[in-house]
Amino acid sequence: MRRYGHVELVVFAAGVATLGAEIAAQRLVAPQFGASTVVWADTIGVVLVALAGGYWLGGRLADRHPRVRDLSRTALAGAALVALVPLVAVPVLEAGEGSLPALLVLVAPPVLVLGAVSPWAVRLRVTALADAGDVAGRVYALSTAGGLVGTFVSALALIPLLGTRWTFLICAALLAAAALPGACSSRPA
Amino acid sequence: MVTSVSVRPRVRAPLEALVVAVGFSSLGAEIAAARLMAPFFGASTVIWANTIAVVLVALSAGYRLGGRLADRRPSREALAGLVLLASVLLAAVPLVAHPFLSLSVRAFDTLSVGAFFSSLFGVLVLVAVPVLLLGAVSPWALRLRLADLSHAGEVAGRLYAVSTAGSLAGTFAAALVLIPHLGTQRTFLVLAAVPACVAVLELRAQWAAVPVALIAALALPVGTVKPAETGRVLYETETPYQYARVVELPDGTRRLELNEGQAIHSLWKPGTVLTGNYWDGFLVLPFANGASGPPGRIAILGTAGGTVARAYARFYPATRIDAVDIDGKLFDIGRRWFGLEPRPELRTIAQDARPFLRETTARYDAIFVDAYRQPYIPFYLATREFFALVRDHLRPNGTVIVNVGHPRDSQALERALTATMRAVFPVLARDPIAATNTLLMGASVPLDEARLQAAPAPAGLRGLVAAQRLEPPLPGGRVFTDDRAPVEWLIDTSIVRYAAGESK
Repeated sequence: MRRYGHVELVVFAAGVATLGAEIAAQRLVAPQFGASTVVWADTIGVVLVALAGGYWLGGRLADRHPRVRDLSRTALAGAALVALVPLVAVPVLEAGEGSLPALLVLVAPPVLVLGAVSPWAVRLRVTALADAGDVAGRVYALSTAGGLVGTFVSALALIPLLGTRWTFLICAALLAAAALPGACSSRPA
Repeated sequence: MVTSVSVRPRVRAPLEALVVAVGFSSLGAEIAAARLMAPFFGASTVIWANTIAVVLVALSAGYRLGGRLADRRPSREALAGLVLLASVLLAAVPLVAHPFLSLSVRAFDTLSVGAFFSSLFGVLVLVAVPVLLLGAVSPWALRLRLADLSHAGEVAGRLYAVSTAGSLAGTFAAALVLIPHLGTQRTFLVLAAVPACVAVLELRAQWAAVPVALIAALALPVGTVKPAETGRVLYETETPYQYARVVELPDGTRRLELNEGQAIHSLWKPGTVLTGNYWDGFLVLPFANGASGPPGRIAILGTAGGTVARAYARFYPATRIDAVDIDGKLFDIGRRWFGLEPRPELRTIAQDARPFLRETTARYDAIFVDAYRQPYIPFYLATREFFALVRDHLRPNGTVIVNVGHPRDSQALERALTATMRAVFPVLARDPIAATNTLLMGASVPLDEARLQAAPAPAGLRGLVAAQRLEPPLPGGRVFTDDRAPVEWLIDTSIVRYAAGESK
């Protein structure tokens, strides 16, 4: 098996999209709710709890569906949810119910789905106990590297140059492009 | 490194406990590292980006390393030894960082860009080493926990989730509890002690000395976070938002500095409420609309220690003031050091300015916008939507006055804010009041210098009125919106240009 293939690309792209969306989400809610410690804590809290839930869920799904195609389709669904954020944001923010409910509606669903990608990838890539550590380390590292790229590209380029809405759409498009070949594959493997 | 030749300890916590503790420590350390550096380097995007990059690269490398080590040494003792080493290195960060941080102070004074960045990277390397070691834990634990391949997904998912739960606790504990109450140095000790306590359960009893020493070190006195270069530090504190300190100069003047202290947020002089700087403009510019008396009601968005509120109390005691600041701790500092005296006409409101304005039904004769999170104006206080909200809270004759801080000779930010305000206010004027500050005015009624000069100002302010020049607003600039407001980008660009020019 190649060490870096489709699964690794999806892991990296999911890392980019997750952190890119987190940075853009703070930008999205600030005009309505400000950037006080409460809003910051709500954002971090919602993102990390959704991620933890996604990890847990993703691991269980992976054991039941240990197929690249199912992983790719999950990632594709995550991309679709990221793309929906700026559209759903208008009515949700106007409702003005407070930052926690708004973030739960806007940010939790895509982050939950994206969180499923990493443990799923570990399951697909581990072929022997003896190299499980190496595989897990590689997946963790790739996802974090993706997070680094997502943070920087969104904060330093996309948000200032194109705006918050486009940042969500570009992150989503990137992940969809990475996931699409695997999701369309007719081979169940 | 500890070896795995072993007398089994009596208690063994589940591996998950170690993963939680390490998650707690590594994200907590990221927050604490940013706060360790803020008093010296500030919290601009440049510093933030470098910190995030170093932490994430170190984590990535740690994951890779941990996975490989795990396959070679799948033993819990080896893993626990690594965690113990990481926690000792983490605890040492604030102590070892001091020489680098002092170097940065001198570099700041002499505007030496090279020395500034070498001290920055010195601190970052100190943080990177323990973070790298902590990163090794997750894949290692996964390798140890994995019993058969068909459940690899579940095991991976559970460990990921557990580590993330720890991170959540670490982030909140560091930012909301530990740093405001214990300060940054002791926060590092707590963040180190937590994983050390769990790790020693896996090791021989004598290693328990390590967490005991870490906890004992909490009793060490911390000393001054940052000594003053000129004058003396009257007070310093970590608030939930920033490092704040009050410095008194030899002539008795007090300054409120936040984070790296490049800007002065409040100024107090003995015997006068005037500052000789941009704050004074807020006392006279509201007359430019031809008002026959001082404003009846004002809002100050970004009050800090209350320099403007204090001056209003002296010259216009009847004016009702809503003094807003996101960081309520600054009101305490204002009351104690900057003459922000409680009185019935003054309301202090610890809230973010924009939600405050959205929720209030009050209408004002003047709204002052002076909110900075150095070196930036928060982007959502610089957009068309924000100024529309301001307009909706002004009385028909009311004016908004924005303090635009900028590097010498850089007009990019002022142009953008001018264009943005023009989208909302039919009348604009500028007062280039100080070398690095312009006061930008907006209104729906004419503003002119003749009316300002004819203003019924109190005797103590006549000279100040005569000194003000109202100019037409600058052309150019692009309108900022909630969706696209590159405030940070604009300011970073002017800082980089300024630094590049200075270092030639």
